[in-house]
Amino acid sequence: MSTITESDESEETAKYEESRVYGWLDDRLDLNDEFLGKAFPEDRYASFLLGEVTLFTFIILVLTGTFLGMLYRPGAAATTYEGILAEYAGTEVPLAFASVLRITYDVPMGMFIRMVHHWGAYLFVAAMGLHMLRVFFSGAYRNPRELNWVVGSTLLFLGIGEGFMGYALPFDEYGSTATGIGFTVAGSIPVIGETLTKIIFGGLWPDNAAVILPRMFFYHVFLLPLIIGGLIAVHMLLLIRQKHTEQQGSRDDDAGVSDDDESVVTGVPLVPNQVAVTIIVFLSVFGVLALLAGFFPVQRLPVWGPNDPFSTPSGVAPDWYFMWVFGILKVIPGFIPKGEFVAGVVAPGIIATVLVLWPFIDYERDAVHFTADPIKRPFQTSVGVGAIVFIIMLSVAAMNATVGSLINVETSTASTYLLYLTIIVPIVWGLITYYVLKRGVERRSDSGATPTEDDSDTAAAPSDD
Amino acid sequence: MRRETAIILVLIGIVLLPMWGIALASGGNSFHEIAIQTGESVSLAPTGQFITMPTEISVYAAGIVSWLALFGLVGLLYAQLRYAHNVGRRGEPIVPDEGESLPHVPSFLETAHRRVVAYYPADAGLRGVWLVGLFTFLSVVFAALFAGEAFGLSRSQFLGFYGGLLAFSLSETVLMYYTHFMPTIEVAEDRDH
Repeated sequence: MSTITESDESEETAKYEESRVYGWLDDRLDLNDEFLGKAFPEDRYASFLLGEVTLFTFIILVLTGTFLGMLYRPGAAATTYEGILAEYAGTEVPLAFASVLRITYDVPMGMFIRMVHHWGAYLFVAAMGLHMLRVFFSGAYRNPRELNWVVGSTLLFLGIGEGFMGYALPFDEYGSTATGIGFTVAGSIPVIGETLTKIIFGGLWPDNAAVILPRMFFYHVFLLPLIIGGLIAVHMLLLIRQKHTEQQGSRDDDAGVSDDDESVVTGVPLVPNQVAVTIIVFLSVFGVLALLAGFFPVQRLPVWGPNDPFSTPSGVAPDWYFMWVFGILKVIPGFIPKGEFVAGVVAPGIIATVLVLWPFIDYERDAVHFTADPIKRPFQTSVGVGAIVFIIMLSVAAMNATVGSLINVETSTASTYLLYLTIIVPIVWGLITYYVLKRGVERRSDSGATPTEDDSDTAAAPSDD
Repeated sequence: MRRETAIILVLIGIVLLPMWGIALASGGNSFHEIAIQTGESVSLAPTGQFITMPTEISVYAAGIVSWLALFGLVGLLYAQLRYAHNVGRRGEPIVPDEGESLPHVPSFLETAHRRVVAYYPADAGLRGVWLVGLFTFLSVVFAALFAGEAFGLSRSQFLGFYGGLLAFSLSETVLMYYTHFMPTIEVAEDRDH
């Protein structure tokens, strides 16, 4: 047991004499102030801030979602909408539909906050994707950060699952038809599909919407955000414990720290510098979302109307981040048994598993703390390029009807072409990338032009200080 | 940009741009007019706008907008960070490792596992005062406009426009204060602790 001496106390007092608040809290909570000095490495292109962008988008989603959650009413029973939207004023519509109309048109700032939430969800998924691409191409997932990659990629899939739940909540014709695609896919799982759907959602969509909507609301506003928030906390804790990777060659020349010294991490401290950067990032994220919310209001409800169980509207598609799964469903050949299950569950499942386990496929035995230069990793980079092109081609395949009309062929013919292209193009693109990078590595090796491990654009660019 | 990087970007662009073209050709955007009741009892006009925009953009176009917005955001952050880096480190740094003495820094910057390796004092010049003043003024203006709209007709497009400009003005205010009035400190910390 330690004893506090007078000299210790006077030292502590002197240490915090400029911050009585901190001193007061420290007296009671025994704060570990060392964290406040944590080093945040910089990179030239601000790509190290993509994680913060994702985090702040999530926080904005939680804040706006809290507002929406207090006003939303999950339910399919008919009720009279008594707001200012002329088309539906005084008419009977489902409870959920009416409550979203009310939020959008009858609550001050309701449409704006709902649209910030809507675009925040899109930006959340896109920022996570770009963040993961940065980590992938720079090899920042390697030993000892494999676990954080697993957590991060799990967050990506939870994020798009969260989006799926939110899509159905207004119970409009468009959203509920798109949600039906998800239910069809889930129900296609052999033997357990329908039972699983009933256990998780309480029935089949949209017949049992009265039961399903409250469950989806619970998953969307409580369960999934709780899991996502928890995993984000784990992600942060691992980051703090393991510290950031650093881009070799980006260190301050004047600081006098060797460029290849992996025993230290250099950067600006959390307090005061990174806090200022963090505030700038948060405000910039909100600024972009506010502009999107203002100029791209998605007033889908009055355009499409409430769910109609007796109609199947054409031209309905899932959200853009599900488009690649939709693409597999569109081009899966008819001779494959249980096509919906294979296209909607097995194939995406394999892709997701490979993604999550990638650090163990591209396994690094020794710990590395500097990011890698993508053009010096022909195999990994060509796999990454091939994967991006694969997702893009699948998304094109999801729009097979448009492709058919553009090239003037039947949709089924277009689907066949797209199936071949989806297989061939990523492989060819990957091989071209591999060949180009391999030649570059050999050329540099022949000319001896490899003074450092990393001569990426960032490191190689002349300082403009 | 290195040749390999350019080739990779071209390769991705060759498939990405046609996909965006097909997405736009898929349509689904709606200009369906949304009628709002008017009268003495109606105090809101959420659909009011000063630029005509679609009442619904399709999920296809929404993907393009999301990615372009993200690229725009990253570009903005890049510009802000380069400004802070280039202007904030314009002067000669104090390097403790070379025997120069540091001004007062918080205790958590110098611990058993962490040390300050470069310290760029803030210039705190008149230019910084003007810039902080300018963006503070803009923040106040857009905050007033935003509040006026929020307590008035609550038109979503106006709220988004004022809210966006308010956030950017605040962001630039913080950036200017950070760049001109805060020292830029570079620390090195041991990885193994």
